[in-house]
Amino acid sequence: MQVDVVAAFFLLGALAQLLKAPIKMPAGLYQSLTIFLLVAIGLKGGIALAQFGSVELLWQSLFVIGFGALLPLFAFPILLKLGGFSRVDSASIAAHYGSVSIATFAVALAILEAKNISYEPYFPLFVALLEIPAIAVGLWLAQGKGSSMNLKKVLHEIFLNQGVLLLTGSLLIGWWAGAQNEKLMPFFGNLFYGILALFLLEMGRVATSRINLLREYGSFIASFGVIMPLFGALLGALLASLLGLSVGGTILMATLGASASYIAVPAAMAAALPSANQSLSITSSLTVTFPFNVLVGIPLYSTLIIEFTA
Amino acid sequence: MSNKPLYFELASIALLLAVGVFLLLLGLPGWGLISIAGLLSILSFVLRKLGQSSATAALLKGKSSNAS
Repeated sequence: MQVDVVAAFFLLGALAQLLKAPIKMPAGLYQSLTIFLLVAIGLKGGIALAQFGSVELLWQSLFVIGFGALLPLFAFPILLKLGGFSRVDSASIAAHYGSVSIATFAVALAILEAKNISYEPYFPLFVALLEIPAIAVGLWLAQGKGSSMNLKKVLHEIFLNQGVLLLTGSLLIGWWAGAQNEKLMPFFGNLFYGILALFLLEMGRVATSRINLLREYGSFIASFGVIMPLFGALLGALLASLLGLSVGGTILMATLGASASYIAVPAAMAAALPSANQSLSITSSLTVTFPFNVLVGIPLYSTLIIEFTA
Repeated sequence: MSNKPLYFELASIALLLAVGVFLLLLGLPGWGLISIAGLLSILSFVLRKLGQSSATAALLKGKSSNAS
C-alpha cells in the first residue's frame, strides 16, 4: 500500500502527537487552512461549471441530494438498534455520516491529480449539495425526543454554515469571474497541495489527541466508523455508475459517500440538538473515519474502481 | 446486558477480514482491511477487558465499604 505524499503529513501529525512532540500550530491557523481549502475547491468548481454546465448536471445534482438524504437513513437504525445509542445521538451521528468532509475530498482530488486520472471538474458543486440534506434528515430522525429546535437558527446553520457558504460562494464567484480567476489562481491553485499538507499535519495531531475518548465511548463506534464509510463508498460508486460518471468521478463519489463531516454538521447539530453528544460524533468521524479514509479507504476505492472499470 | 454491539463488532471484523483476503486472492491490495480488522479486534478485546476490570474493582470497593 503506497501512502500519498499529502497523507504522509497526516501520519507525521499523528506520530508527533503520539510521541508528545511539540508541534504548535498558531492559534487560528487550522481555521484559516479550512477556509483556504473551501475557497480553492469552490473556485476550481466554479471555473469548471462555467465551461461544462448543462441540463444533465441538474439531474445529477438531484440524485446527489437524494444520496445525501439516504445515507443517514442507513446509519441511524444501526446506531439506534445495534449500538444502543439514544435517538438523539444516533440521529446526530447519522447526519455526520450523510454529510461530507472537505479534507477527505481534497485528499481524493490530490490522489487523482497525482495519478493523472480525469474527473468531472464540477464536483465541488456536489460537495456543497451533499453538505445540506443529511443535516435536515438527521434533525427529522431526532424529532420529538430531546430536541429543542429553534427553526430560524437551525435553517441558518443548515444553509449558512461556513462550509456551505464558502463553497457555494466561491463556486459562484469562480463561475461568474471568467478570465479574472487567473488573478487568484497563483494563490488558490498552485499552493493547494502545500496548504493541504499543512492542514493534514494538524488533522493528524487533532485526531490522535482524541483517541482516548474511544475508551469512553466503546469499541462499537470504532467498528461503525470503519464499516459505514465502506458501505457509503459502495453506494457512491453505484450512484456514479448510474449517472454515467467517469472513473475519476466514480472515485470522487465513492469518497464523498465514505466521508463524514466534522466541521459543518457539528455546528448545525450543536444548534439544533443541544442534548446530542457532540464529542461522540466528532470522535467517530474525525478519529476513526477520517484516518481510515485517508490511509486505507481512498487508495482502496481508487484501486478497485480502476480495476473493475478497466 | 444486550450483546448486539459485540455481534456488530464481530460481524464487522469478519467482513473486513473476508473482503481483505478476497482482494489479496485477486491480487489486489487487501492488507489495509486486514490490518484494520486486527486493530478493531484488539480494541474490542482491550476495551472490554478494561471495562470488566473497572467493574470488578468497583464491586470489590463496594463490598469492602459495606463490610467495614
